[in-house]
Amino acid sequence: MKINWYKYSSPKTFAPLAEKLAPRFLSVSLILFISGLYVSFFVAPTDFQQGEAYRIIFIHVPAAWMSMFLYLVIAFWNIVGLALKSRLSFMFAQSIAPTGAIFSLIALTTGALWGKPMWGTWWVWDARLTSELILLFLYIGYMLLQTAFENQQRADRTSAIFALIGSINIPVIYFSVVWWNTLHQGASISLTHAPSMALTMIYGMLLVGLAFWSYSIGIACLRVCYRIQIREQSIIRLTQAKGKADALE
Amino acid sequence: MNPWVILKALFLREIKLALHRRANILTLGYFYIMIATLFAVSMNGDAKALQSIAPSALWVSALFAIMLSLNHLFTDDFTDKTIEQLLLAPAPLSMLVAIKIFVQWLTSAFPLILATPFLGIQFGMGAAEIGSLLTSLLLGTPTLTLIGAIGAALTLGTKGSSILIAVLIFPLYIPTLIFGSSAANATLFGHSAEEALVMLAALLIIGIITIPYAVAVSLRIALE
Amino acid sequence: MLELRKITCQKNEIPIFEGINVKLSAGECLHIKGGNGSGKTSLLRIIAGLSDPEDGTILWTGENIKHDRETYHANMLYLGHQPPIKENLTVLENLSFMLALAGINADYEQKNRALKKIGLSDKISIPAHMLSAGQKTRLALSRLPSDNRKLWLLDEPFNSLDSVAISCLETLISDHLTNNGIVVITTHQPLKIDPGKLKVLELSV
Repeated sequence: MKINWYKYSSPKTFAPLAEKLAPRFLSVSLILFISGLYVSFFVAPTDFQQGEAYRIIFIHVPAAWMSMFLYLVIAFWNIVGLALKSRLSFMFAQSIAPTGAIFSLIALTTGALWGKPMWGTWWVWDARLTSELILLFLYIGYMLLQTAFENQQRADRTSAIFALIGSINIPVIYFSVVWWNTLHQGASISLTHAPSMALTMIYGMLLVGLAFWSYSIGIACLRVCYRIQIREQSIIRLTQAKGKADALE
Repeated sequence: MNPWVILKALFLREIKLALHRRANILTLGYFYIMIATLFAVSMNGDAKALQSIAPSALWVSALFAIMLSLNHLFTDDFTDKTIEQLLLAPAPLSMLVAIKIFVQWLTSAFPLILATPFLGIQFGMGAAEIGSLLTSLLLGTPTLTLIGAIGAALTLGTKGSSILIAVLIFPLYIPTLIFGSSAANATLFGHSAEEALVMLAALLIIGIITIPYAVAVSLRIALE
Repeated sequence: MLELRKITCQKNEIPIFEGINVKLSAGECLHIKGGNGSGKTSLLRIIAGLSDPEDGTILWTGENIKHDRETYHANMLYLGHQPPIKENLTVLENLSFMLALAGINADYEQKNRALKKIGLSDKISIPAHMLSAGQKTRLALSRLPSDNRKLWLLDEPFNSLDSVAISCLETLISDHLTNNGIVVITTHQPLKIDPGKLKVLELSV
């Protein structure tokens, strides 16, 4: 099926497509999530060392994956937007960001919920959790930067550059945090010491991961629709104002 | 056209302008001392505890001082529109930017480096410790200024940009802070500062090579 | 030598002007006219390369200016309508820096002569913040006699100038055109330029 990409590269034509796609992705995500939870809670075996509480990793790990994956997707769409000067690409990136931040928050909270019954503390400054926290800060910075400008084009391009600089820095940040950890805590407990994986556990995480992925696409479609609507309304408003001004002359 | 004429002229101008801003520069040093003092006061002057946090507290204070001085880097030129002339000069913008950042570092690091030994003594640090702290600051503050320049360029012309710059570059500062404070804390925790200092130097070199170009791109976007 | 091809400008997605086509050869002057908000300054900034047009290209001697920025800058001078001067520096220091930024190494005599021409030589060591608005504009213009770059882009250069300064600037512009330079100028004033060299572009709101 030959898709005419150009046709959909304009926000106006993309909006109806997104509106149609969103509910489909969201319902698929619900089905996947329920099956994922079923596998996690009823099919995967109880862990030899960690008991039932370990099951939270079925949410923690996919959420962490998604938070990192979505950041890369955001970087990708921002590169496309800068290279091709397409407003829609920037809108994609900006619509994905809140979901990425939420997954990051989920990863952090589930990390804490896992840590408490396991090792008695709500928080541990291990490499992965600290990097996840910094990733959340990068998301927040990206979203905050967009609100700082009145000119939409400047908001798009400035936040795009920031997202790119952030993504290039992520390996550097991760490396420095790992280095710092090995320096001070040596062979200490790591919250990422996952139990050796039974196959069913991997299936569980995969299902939840796919559910999260499908959810992200669906909700991003809805957000893009919303942004396109707002953009159309503001263009109509400004054109009307201009018309009035012209008529007055 | 010889770019060196232009670069030299910009360097001299920046120095002249910095001399006109002498009061601001000293205020920066005073600010650094103030934050460090707040740390000390909040710990009730407990000498042992102070000693253990001294290198980190001073590093964080220095970081704050640098972060808050970044607003001046491009805003003055933006307000009087001389920045457009820099963008239109027949020389690579990244080099012009590098010179501005260099002078910014000279003027912001200078009061910090001067004040640090005195603060160190106040916090009960030994000579060797103060030495590692100074070296780590010398290697780390240029990187902090470079990264901060990105924040300054991206937020140029916005209201409340000081806070916004801080929010944006704070995650990007983490690696430098980690290596810098590790080096400074080396004597305290009994490991060698060498590795951390090497990392700091590496960050600095990568920063010098890549960041001025990124700042130039951000400036062009900010002035469209 | 300077060509504007299909230049379209948008602000917040509303088109300001579309499809501007102009060709200028050596010795010609383009006068951009239009009411407030018609986009005169935006167009001039696009020609200078500070902004990107929504559509279209600017060509200098046949080359897209985006392809070799530095060469274009070496041939072009831009003055926005806020005079780009540093308030803390003296008149002489400002002039020296402006010329140095263009790569021009002028000696004290040359600078003194330029300031004399524009009527600021008695203020040579005064810090710029003590100048009046008109004097600041004159300071920004004082680089023109020494600056031999071919293309001059001037945005409302006659603002705040008295009649003496106005005729001085007109002479500078005419001399530049006679020397095969190109001038693009936005102004509300009627221009006293040889009509044979003058092209007019009217932007409507």
